[in-house]
Amino acid sequence: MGAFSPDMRVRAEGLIALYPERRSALIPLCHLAQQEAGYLTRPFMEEIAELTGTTPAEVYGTASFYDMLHTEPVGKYLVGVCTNIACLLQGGGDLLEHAERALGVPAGGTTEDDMFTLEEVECVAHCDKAPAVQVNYRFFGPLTGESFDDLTAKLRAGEYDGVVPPHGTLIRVQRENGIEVPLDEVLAERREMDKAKAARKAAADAAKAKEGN
Amino acid sequence: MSNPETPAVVHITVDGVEVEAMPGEPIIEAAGRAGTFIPRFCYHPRMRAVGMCRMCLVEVSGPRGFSLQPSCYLPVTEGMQVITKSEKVKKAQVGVLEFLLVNHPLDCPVCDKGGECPLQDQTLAYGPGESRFVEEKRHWEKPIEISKLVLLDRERCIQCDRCVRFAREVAGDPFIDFAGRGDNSEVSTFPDGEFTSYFSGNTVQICPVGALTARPYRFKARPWDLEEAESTCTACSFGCRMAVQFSRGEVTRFLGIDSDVVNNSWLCDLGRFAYESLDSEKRLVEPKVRYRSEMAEVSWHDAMSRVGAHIRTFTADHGAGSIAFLGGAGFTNEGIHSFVKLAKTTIGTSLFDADLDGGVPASVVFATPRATLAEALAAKVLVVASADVREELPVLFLRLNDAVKKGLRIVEVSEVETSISALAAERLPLSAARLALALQSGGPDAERLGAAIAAAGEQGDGAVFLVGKSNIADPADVYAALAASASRRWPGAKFLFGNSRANIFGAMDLGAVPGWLPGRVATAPSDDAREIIARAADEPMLLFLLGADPLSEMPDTALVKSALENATVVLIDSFESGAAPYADVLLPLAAYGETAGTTTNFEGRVTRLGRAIVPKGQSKPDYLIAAEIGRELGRPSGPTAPEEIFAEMARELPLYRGLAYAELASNRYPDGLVVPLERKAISIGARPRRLDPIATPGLVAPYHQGPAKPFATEVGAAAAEPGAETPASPRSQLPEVSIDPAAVSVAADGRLRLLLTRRLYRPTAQLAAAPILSKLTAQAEIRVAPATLEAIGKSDGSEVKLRGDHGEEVAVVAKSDKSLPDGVVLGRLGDGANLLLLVKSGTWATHVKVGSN
Repeated sequence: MGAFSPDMRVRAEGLIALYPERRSALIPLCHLAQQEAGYLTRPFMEEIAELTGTTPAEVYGTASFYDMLHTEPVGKYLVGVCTNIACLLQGGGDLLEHAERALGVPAGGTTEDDMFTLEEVECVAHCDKAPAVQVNYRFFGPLTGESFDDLTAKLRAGEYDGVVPPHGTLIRVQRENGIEVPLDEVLAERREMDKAKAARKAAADAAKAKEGN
Repeated sequence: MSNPETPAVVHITVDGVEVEAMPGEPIIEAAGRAGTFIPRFCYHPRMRAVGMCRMCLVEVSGPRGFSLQPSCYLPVTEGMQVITKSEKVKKAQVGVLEFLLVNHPLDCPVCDKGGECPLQDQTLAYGPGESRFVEEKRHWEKPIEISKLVLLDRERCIQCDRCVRFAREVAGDPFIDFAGRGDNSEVSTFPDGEFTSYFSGNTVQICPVGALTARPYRFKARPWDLEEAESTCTACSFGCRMAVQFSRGEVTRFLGIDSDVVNNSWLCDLGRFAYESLDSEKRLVEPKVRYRSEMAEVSWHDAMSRVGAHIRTFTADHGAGSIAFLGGAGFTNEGIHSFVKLAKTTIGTSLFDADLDGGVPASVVFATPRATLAEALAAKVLVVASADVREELPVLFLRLNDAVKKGLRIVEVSEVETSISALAAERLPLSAARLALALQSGGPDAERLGAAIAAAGEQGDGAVFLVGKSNIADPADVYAALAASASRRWPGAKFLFGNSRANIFGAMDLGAVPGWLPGRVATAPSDDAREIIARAADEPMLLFLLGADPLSEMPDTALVKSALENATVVLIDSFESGAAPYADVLLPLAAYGETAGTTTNFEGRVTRLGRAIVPKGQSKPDYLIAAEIGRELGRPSGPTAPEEIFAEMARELPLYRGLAYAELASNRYPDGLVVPLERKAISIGARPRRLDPIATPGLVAPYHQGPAKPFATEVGAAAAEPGAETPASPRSQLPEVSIDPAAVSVAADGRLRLLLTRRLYRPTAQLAAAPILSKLTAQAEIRVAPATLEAIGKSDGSEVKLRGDHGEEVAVVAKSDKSLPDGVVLGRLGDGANLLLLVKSGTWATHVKVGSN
């Protein structure tokens, strides 16, 4: 019994096949797992280790390096308040303090109803709308305390469903036929490339041998 | 190997002095050999360089003048100019150390590493003296247990990556990795996971700060109080070189010594932490003699009288042939020599078998050309037909793992997957018996092996075979036949044998096995351990058990039990083993670190054992016990010191001719010598013995480590006298061993063939006496195909009942394993169930039925 659903398992295998080495698919698989569970649960990390031929410790080590991969539970909405210089000058620090009070959790914490996880983030490149906030990597700003409360209320009420998908969702608009990888094409292309490379190498070797004689 | 385009030597200039360097080696190595030490933390000579700590920055000439480069990472090139002592370099070193100390706590007075700490030492030598950092240092939960043996104090970690690299590259157990980023980086296991590795202690040894500590050593000693004796590990027959460190009569730790030819500084945890048992309450420290049904502590004098009386009575009543010696594979060469003389000369019995395992017999070991480890690792192809190497000869697994990365091709012959399977280029899923039969009679299986090792040529030149007992339930003849027929088929091939008891090869060389006299001299065959036990069950016998426990080491437990009950048993051991309750006399044996002497590893390499402390209680070294018994029997006293006994061996036995006890611990032969000495010069490898205080902090100065020598030094075994007769290994003496087809027969009616294996932490009296290590004792289990479990309605991990052909029953935990071949059940010995009960002596194959109850 794996953590991935059968569909996702198929997608995972497809992703692994894209890389010359299995372990290269580690990060894409972490994203897949987040889509399923919202964050990287231990069973997922263990299954990713099995799929990529690594160990759970290596998966954990890699995942914990990246801010957008979460190894601890995350709410439905990941709210990041920017406190980098542009936002700070426009009141980003105050906004973060307000958010902590309003949500009742310190930065890094998750609300009891598992709706929001609050984060302090570095520049999100939305300086023209400072102070800016990102919710599951969708941008809002400029925000005041009031408009922040309004935003969270609307998120809670479901008014942003469809605009801000739950945390972990990979892409908002699924392609009509899903996001399956054209594996055959990719593999065929790779075979061609390998063949050409081998031919080039053989030619070079032959030339070298000739020179040698 | 040698590419004509690659120059043999490149020339670089270090601080204005021209230096010869090997192509491809990093600057730090070349400079170090020339006497210029460059400070470093992350660089370790046995691992890939990563350039993480930046401590080894030096100025290197380039197209745009000199620039700072990490000298551990940059390979030398012809004409390269290096400056290691300049203002710029000094500034870089001061800067790096100041950064490292930003978060490193200054708790040196309570840190185990204090006094032998590369960070402490190099800060003193190269550091800024004071820090500009006044802010709060980072804090972590203090030490977390990453395994039962190793603790991690993350505050002290300087992120050098040594432990992580070791786990990943050397051990192949990547169960620790860096987690987090930036100042939140930490070495971590998987959350709630464990760093389960047989080699975890090495991470403690190579940690350049006090971040990793071993539970058995924590807070036990200060390094400047430690004394040191160089020795050889006797946990298995691989013979790792190590330093025994001790203080005030107590052994405090073992450190691996970087021996090029043996262990490359690594040890397994079983060997590294074996000292835990030395000071145990469970040590046998007084001679004991049975009075009525009770064992009473007596003096050596009284115990000797009893032993002498037994020997005289048995000789008078039943002849000397009723006295047998079993075991001795854990003894020193000097002890074995003394006991063999006692048995075969003084008492006059030929019944002596050190190999209770029934491994590859001496007749085959002596008649095949033996490879050295270096030859095996450099072979064109290495055929491994042995029990799981990681379980039996752990550090050999590390060497093989390393050699495979450097191009060694391994062909494995094993029915089941082992640790070698992942390293092997090819695995032939054959039992030893099937391959042996195929090699004798030809056929597709033999051809498959031939094709797999085709690179070694028709004669097998350049091929090395590692043959060991892969199934404890098999008779020794299977392995004798396998090795003998392989040697006939490929006359150019060389052999190593996987018999794993510490000094079993020394025991063979010294005639402690049936059919052989000391010095590899053949004599009339006599009963082996199995036959002696069978006889002892029926007729009166006096059994000397020399540090051996037939109950846990030999199959057919029922027979062994009745033999021990029937016989008069004299047990000579450091611990009260499973055989102790059957003993009439118990003689306390000095344990490891308490005895000097020599030991012989699986290559035939004779090395010195170091004596660190005095024997505990009344216990005595093996050679003294033999001398005491001899004196009791009225034999004129012979030599009683190990160097004198060794001198006698070297004088009397051509095998040891040219060896001198003192020389085995000299600068000349730091890692001993392989017997018999070859008359031509031998190379001890590309590099001289290292004494690298940063690679192995705490290694003081094993007694023979002199100044570094130039790298290409050839060391000749000049000690061998010209014309000295050394016993040859004539192929003509290869025994003809036939195998009964029953060994490969397939059982009917759902019975499965039993394949029995051992694991590293096998339950022994010594392991049980080690407080921390004993927690790792292996549990008995069987592995069966998922379909077999389903058929009896049991789930993975539940208990099943094994029924043998003779009505024996054993309840044991069963695990489902889909990699198992059809018709086989894999039993792994351990605590909780006695699988040896199922094996009957003298059967070619053991079959069992797996049932639900």
